[in-house]
Amino acid sequence: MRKDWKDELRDSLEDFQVAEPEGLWEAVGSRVNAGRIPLVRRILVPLSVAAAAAAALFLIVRPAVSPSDDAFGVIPSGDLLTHNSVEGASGTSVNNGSASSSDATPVPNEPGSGLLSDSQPALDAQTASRAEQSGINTLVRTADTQILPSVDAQPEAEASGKDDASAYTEEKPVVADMGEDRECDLDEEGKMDFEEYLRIEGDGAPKRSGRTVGLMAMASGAQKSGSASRNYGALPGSDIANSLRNLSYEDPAYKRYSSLVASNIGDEVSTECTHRQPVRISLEAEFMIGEKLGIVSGLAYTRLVSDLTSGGGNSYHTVQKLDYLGIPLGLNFHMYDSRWLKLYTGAGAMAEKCVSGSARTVYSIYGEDTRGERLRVMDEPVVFSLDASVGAGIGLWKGGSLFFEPGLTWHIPDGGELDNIYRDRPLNFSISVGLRSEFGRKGR
Amino acid sequence: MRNGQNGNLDVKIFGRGGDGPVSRAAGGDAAAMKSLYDAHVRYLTAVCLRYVPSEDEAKDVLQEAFIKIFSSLGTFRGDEKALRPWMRRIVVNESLMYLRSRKKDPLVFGEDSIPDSLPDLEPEPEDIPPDVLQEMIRKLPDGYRTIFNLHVFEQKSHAEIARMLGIRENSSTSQFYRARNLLASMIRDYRNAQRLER
Repeated sequence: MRKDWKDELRDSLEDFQVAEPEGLWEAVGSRVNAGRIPLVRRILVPLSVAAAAAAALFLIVRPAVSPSDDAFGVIPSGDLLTHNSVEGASGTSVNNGSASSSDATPVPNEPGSGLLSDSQPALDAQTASRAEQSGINTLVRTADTQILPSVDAQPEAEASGKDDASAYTEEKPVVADMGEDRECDLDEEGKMDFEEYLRIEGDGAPKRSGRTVGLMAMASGAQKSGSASRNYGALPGSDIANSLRNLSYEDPAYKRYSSLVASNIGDEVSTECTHRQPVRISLEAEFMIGEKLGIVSGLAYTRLVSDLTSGGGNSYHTVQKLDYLGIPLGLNFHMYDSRWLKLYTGAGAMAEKCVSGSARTVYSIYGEDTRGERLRVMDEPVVFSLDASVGAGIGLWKGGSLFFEPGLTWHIPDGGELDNIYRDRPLNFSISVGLRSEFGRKGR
Repeated sequence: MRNGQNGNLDVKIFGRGGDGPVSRAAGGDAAAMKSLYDAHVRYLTAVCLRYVPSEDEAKDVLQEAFIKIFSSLGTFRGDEKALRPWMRRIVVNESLMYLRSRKKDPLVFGEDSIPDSLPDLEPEPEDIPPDVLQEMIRKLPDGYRTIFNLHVFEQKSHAEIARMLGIRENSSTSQFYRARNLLASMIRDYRNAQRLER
């Protein structure tokens, strides 16, 4: 019986080989540098609430809290975090899917250097404790493969956290995503379908993730809450995250990322993300109702800054800055009032809108820093919050004062996509400073 | 990114409990990686060139594919025999992603792009040298070639291809038949030319 022509064709080309393109190994080999990765010492300095309060006082003289862009230009090679960072965590080596102990049971989809994983080991107690002690939202997101929101993000949230390595393993992977676990389609060999590969890699349709975006093919699975990640990660809106969505091979960010991952083969990798304590600056007017009670409103400006560092011996550092304008509305109860000093407690609410934002990444590969493109980032929903505070005001002019208000703020969950301190830590210590003018009080 | 108490990073080389080249390559052994590369690169190049006929573009795709291969080796759980199909799958996926990312060349031709004037033929590839068959496949129009490769070499059904490429199933079927007919014509022309040379 004559063989089917397709079988003939397959048999004929089954072992067919052609010479590889010239220079291919050199191109690959230059990016795969196992065994010659430089050791890098990272000294991470915890930011404390006290330091934030000191920064708030400093704000009375100088308003800026976040670093200027010039800071990137002076980051020494291989030492990205010398000026602001939090103490990192030790971790077991999980590179290339193996634990450091040679007889460790292979874990399906275990995070590796550049491997997607859908199951993330829990943060070790030391890091969790350190994160708590630091008073900072030392959140560590892992990479999941889900695509980040663009400025015009789509409304649907879809699955994320698929392990690209699991596309090529024999274990049946589990998709860890934002809301539900889904198993990917596997063919009869137990391998992932190309459709799943595309879905995981990003097939061009923007998807949403409120989590740090994962890195295709090489990064690891979803982390459900702030903790240290032992894999690559990215902030939504960063050039890395965008490059994974677009999957353009001409994209410099994608090429830089691929180079970095390849250069870290054999090295521990991890991701740490820190949201800095924001300080709010306000101009307010207070309308007195009687002698002790006043209604306050005005205009408030807040800058949220988040830092993410990811990698191993070679790494990248993303800084995201978001500027919010808000309208507060509250009630103050004056406990003490004099010409020069006011003491009061207050409670109120605020509606804030992000008016501008940016994210920029610096890549450090073999001692060479490359600055990525600054991307515009926008947080879409209006953010509402409730707060309670104590305040002190220093009288500057008749009826006017400079105020300082530490307190507690709770940001109402809004389903927004970007990672920031409002979402990562809705209930948070807050600091407001500003100028307030009083109306309706006689004799002052 | 800290290990232990001293704050130093250790570059840890991971073994998978074995001594073979895969284990050593997974652990970051550059010589083992090169050994795997040498053992499979020509085969994978042939696979890639069937999808991405331009050698320059194939080089880019293969480069990315090998990076992924080496990055993912740690999670490869099969034996040495399963390694080549595993690598092949990565190369095919990378090729398809690359084709998809190209704006100027659509992954799939519109159905009216090629006139439907070819006879309904089945290829007869027996006794045709493999390098000739490879060249014929590379000469197929982009969209037809992709569907042809997926159906014949990856043995995907038209329903699966349609889902993968975002086209209708009958579009996959008709484009496959056109590719088949084109290939059959090329083979017929080749045989005729061979006979004339004799």
